[in-house]
Amino acid sequence: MPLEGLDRLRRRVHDDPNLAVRLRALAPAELDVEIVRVAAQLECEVTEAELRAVIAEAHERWQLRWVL
Amino acid sequence: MGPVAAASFAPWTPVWIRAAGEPVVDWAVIGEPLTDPFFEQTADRAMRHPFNRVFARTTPLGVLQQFGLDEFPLAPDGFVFHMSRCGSTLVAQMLAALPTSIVVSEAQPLDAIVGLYRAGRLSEDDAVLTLRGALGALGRPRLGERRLFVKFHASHVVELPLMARAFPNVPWVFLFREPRAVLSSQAQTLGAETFGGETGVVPDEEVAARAVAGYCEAALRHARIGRSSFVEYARLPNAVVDEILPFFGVRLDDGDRERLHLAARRDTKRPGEFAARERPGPSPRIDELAARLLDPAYEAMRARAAGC
Repeated sequence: MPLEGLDRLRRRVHDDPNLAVRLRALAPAELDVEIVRVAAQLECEVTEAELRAVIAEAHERWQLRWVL
Repeated sequence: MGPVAAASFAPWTPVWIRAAGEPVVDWAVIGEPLTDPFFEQTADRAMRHPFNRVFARTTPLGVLQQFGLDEFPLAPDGFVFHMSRCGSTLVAQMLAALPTSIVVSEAQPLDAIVGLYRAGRLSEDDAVLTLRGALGALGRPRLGERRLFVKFHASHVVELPLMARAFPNVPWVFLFREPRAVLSSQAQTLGAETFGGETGVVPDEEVAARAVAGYCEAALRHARIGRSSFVEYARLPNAVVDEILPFFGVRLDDGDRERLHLAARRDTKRPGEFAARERPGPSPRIDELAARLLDPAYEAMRARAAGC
């Protein structure tokens, strides 16, 4: 299923404050690669293309926060 | 929520509440202290970070009700209410200049909770629990801070009894200013506090004046709730050191006076500029509105500020 790996990774990040803090501290330019690496380590398959799509969707959702 | 689940929220801050449908909370890892003039500026920067674009979490509003008070290290030390355009952002920025302080300044999540309560979508009991959870999570120390202050939206003074029930015994100040100056500022650029989301009506000068008058009358009406202090704009910025901080029980540490002095010199709403902008005198219309709607409350607030 699309995003299944990313959804599992999100749950891991949400459940692990240390992992969340560590990833948040990375520079934006380093983040994609590190997310893919951590995802592989945790056996949650995530591609950079999926990340780009999710980031674009989140951008739109935040821009529209006043009406959602 | 069990203790493990609650612990998982430790680095997360509620940045936005969406209330168009079933209310939900957006959470982000902010990763910096709250030093912007308004919380939304910090929230916006956080939500633009790719980490939060990928991992920001969304929960039902009810999650905020499930935190225990003992899960948050800081209880609020002081509340700042105001009539708008009267130096409240300056006060917030001066409080935030103290390294031991967190200032939650006009945070949308608190405003959204008040809005849900006003709309009858949250009972008073639920609003109390939700406010406690939201402020606890907003006010988590990020750099070892020891004190928590809240600057509310102007209209929130109307809900002071609700705030006092949610956070008993928190001292509060009400900032006010000569009404013609406030209304002249509103006439130049109407603020959200006098139309739209807060009052739901089309703005004009009279609507703005009525809204501001309502805030002043609410402050006077609620003055006996807890410990209150009325502080006039004309006494700023010195009143922060001489009146507000002692009233909130804050003793200054080494270097704090210099930090406060520097914060007082910045223009709080125009970074990089300095305060003291020239304003034209009030128009006849504003003079009439101030005399009719605001002068009695202004005089009553001055009397309170003078201890009469």
